Amino acid sequence: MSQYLVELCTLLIDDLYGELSSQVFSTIARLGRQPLAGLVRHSNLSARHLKHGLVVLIQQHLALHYTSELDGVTYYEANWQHAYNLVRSGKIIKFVEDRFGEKAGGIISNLLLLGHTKVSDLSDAYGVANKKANSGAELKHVNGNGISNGNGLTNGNALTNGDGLANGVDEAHDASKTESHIDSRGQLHSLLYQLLHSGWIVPVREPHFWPQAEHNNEAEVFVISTHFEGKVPKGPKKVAEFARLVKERKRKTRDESLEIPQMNGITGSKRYGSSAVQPSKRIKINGTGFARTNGYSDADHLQDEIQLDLKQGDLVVRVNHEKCNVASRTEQLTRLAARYVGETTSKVYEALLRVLEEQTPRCYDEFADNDQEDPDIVDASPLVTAQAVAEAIDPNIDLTDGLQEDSNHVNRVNGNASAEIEENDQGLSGHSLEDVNKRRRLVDQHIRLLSEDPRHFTHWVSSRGMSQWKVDFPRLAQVLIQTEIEDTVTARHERMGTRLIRILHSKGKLDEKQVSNFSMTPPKTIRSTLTGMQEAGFVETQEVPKDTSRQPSRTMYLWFYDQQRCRQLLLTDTYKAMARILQRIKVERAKVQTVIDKAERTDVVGHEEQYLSKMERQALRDWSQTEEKLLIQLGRQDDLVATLRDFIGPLNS
Amino acid sequence: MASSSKPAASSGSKKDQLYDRCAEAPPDTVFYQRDLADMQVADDSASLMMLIQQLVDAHMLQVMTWEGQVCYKLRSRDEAAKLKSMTPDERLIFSHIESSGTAGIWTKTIKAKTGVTQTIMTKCLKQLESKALIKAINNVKFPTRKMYMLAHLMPSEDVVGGPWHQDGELDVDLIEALSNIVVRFIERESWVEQKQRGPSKVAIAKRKAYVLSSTNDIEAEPPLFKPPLGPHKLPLIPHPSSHRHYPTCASILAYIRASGVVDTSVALQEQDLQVLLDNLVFDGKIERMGALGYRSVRGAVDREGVGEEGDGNGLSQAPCGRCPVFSLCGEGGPVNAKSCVYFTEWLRTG
Ligand code: SF4
Repeated sequence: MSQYLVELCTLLIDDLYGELSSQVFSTIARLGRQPLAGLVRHSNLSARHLKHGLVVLIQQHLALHYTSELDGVTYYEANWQHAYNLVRSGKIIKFVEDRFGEKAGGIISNLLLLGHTKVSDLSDAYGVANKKANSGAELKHVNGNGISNGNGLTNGNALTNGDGLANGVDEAHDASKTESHIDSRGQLHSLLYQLLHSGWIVPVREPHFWPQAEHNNEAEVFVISTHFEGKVPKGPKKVAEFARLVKERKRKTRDESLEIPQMNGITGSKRYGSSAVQPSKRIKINGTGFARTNGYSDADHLQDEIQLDLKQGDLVVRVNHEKCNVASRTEQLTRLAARYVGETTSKVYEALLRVLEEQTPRCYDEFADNDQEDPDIVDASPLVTAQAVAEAIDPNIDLTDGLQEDSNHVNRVNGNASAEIEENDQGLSGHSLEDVNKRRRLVDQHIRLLSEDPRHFTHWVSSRGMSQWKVDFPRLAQVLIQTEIEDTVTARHERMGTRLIRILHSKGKLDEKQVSNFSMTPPKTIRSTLTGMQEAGFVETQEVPKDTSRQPSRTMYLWFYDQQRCRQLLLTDTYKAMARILQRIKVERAKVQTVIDKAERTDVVGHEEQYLSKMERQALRDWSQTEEKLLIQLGRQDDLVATLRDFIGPLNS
Repeated sequence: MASSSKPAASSGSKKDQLYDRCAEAPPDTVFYQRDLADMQVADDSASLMMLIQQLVDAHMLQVMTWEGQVCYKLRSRDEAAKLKSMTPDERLIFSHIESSGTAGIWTKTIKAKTGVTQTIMTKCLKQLESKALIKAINNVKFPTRKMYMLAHLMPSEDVVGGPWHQDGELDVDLIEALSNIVVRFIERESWVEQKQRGPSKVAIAKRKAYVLSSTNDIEAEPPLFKPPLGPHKLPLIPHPSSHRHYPTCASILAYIRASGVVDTSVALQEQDLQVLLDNLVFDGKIERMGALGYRSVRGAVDREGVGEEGDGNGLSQAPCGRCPVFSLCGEGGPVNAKSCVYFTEWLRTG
């Protein structure tokens, strides 16, 4: 865990849960896996303080713990993934709102506030203590939203912002509260059902609190006892087999731990698998809230069943950040398509990716069996038809925009008039069959543009359902990473820097003369750019002696570019920059703290005009603008982190 | 002899049908399997694969790969007939000479690659030469090497001292000028200006109804990226996916020659231009479309002075992303976020 990541996570925790929690977090992050006694010994915190801090951290899933069966000692470890995710709260709420509506977003914001929660407690929060829980959540919600896009940070909201948990109700919150208000337990359960089945929230079980090392131990012990008769495997073949089985065991354990109880057969990992056509259909039906296909009554029935299950209330759930990464990837890829192909086409792409999201629990599976060389294993990546995209896409999008009339294609496939686009403009009134067909064809043409783009946003699979496609996510994740690196290099070293990086990326190690030839630029022009980038760590050199004399004059220098290294470099820099923004927010807030305090007094709230001077009001406005600007930047940097870190296998370092 | 192996007359005609459909496309078109499937000659993919195989066997389709995908190019019936008349050895040698392009290939390399004996090779080369399919060329760099290339090609100029150099130095002005011309040409050929379409009445009515019925305002969202405008100030949009006329190295060269923008004294060859095109790809001005074609990167021709830098990302926009003392900065250090002047400056400006 890098120093800057610790710094960033500590700042985030400090902001939300106070100084004690953040101190305890930075202690366990610094010390690594330790029992309480070890923590006491190596820090200047008392056992009592540590315990207090750990309780909060564990409730929020920011610390992991495991009690050894041998000696009964409990070990603690920092959960930096979840700590980092605090910065994403606003984004997750927005993603869920976009997909399932405001009320579902409200549930998510409550869950984020409460940490992992029993369903019954959540119901209580809505029913009995509705007001309290909700207003708290709303505050955080507003705060979080600001992190992602600055919404809700304007006007009066900003007055209470920043210290969200502590206080206050003002009009804006009351207003938004009614919108995300949930009327009945039934409604709550049906929303929970949707969120559970789409994977946005997941059940929490004991193993989720274990550190990675424990998962590993458990899996290894299990595999050794079941497959190797209790003996540690030896020899390359057995060791490889062992590694594969351990991975498989970890995958199984994880999938089982995420299974929704009593829903045998259609839950767990299966519901995402390619075989689970039915359940995914059900999810779709409920996800959009429309009864589109005849599977509806079936789904209805299913829903009842789950609601019964939920009513018992024992299930503990939490928000699933892996799913947030999937939505984030959709957003970044849509952006890339908008940049290189066109706005409307990118919207079609977004719709396509969202259909695929339903079948995608996570961006990449660290326990996947990827070294399978078995030719009988078919590529299991999910497929999507133009038909499904046409059904899913917002009907208000003008699909003819950004599209050249493809007379060729229309003629060939349908054999009818090529002037169809104009012609049909007159008849868009209802959902006539013709209209549906036309939209489907237009969607198909947009998808074809996407597949033809050099980045190959989609891949053609077959002609089923107008046309059937898949998306090569791992490759596109690489494209996104490379694009971010190039954008950064362009900002710091001009276009020339990016050009040289692309040359080295495609050609491998080159000496200066070769770089000059490929870039058609004289050596003296590129030299300063290359050295500048070397200092910044984007390119490196390798010395190759021409003979054994090892004299500098007899040495060749080869330039090269290492994408993985740049990815790591940029990620660390971004963590650091994010920490600086959070520190700066503190500083800026401190400057107006007295005014903020005053504005938050109960007698002042709602009577700002009366009690606050003109200067004080101006100071608050300035502060809210400053904070908004800083938070927007923080959100963008988090986008960058998502691209660099979360869409494809972990960095090796 | 090939015709005797045809299983039935009907499938033969299907094969011809497919060939004719391909021939309708402009020369040098590259077809992917889905393009061929779209022609709807074959009933299913199995029989399509069979038809393709037959055409390949008859040398009427040339198999290529691009980014791991198999694709095909049509051969003229003449060419196919010539290929058919060759012996397997001749064909093998011919294919190596063909793939060496304008660089030509050394007989020793042919021998190493094909593994045929000297006598067979000599015989084959003679045969091919007599049919006017290949020709012997001299290489200035290696005058002693016996080299061959396709008869209709012009041997390439050696890279050293090519048209990009002036007195042994890179001719930066020429490169720059020609790059601009090429990018503009490619943009013109690879994007279309969207026809001005007043929004249709129905669309307006629909939108109005939507706005009235909903509190969300969809109109408020500006596009993520401003669409680049063409010469007539209309947005540029891509060609439909069936478009196959993306400019190629050959067609760009033809344009340059015809337009007379370069001095005829500059003997520009396809392979020289290829170097320039590769460089433009690295520069992010143009991109490959399929095996042969090029398209300009959206917005490569900057008509509105948007600037070179673009948007950057969350890091490069922030003060820390451009900070000269980034590595020194830390809480309690000589520079830190609290006292940072770059932040103050950044917060003050817009
Ligand atoms: S806080 Fe200021 S000094 Fe520190 S890295 Fe950022 S811009 Fe540089």
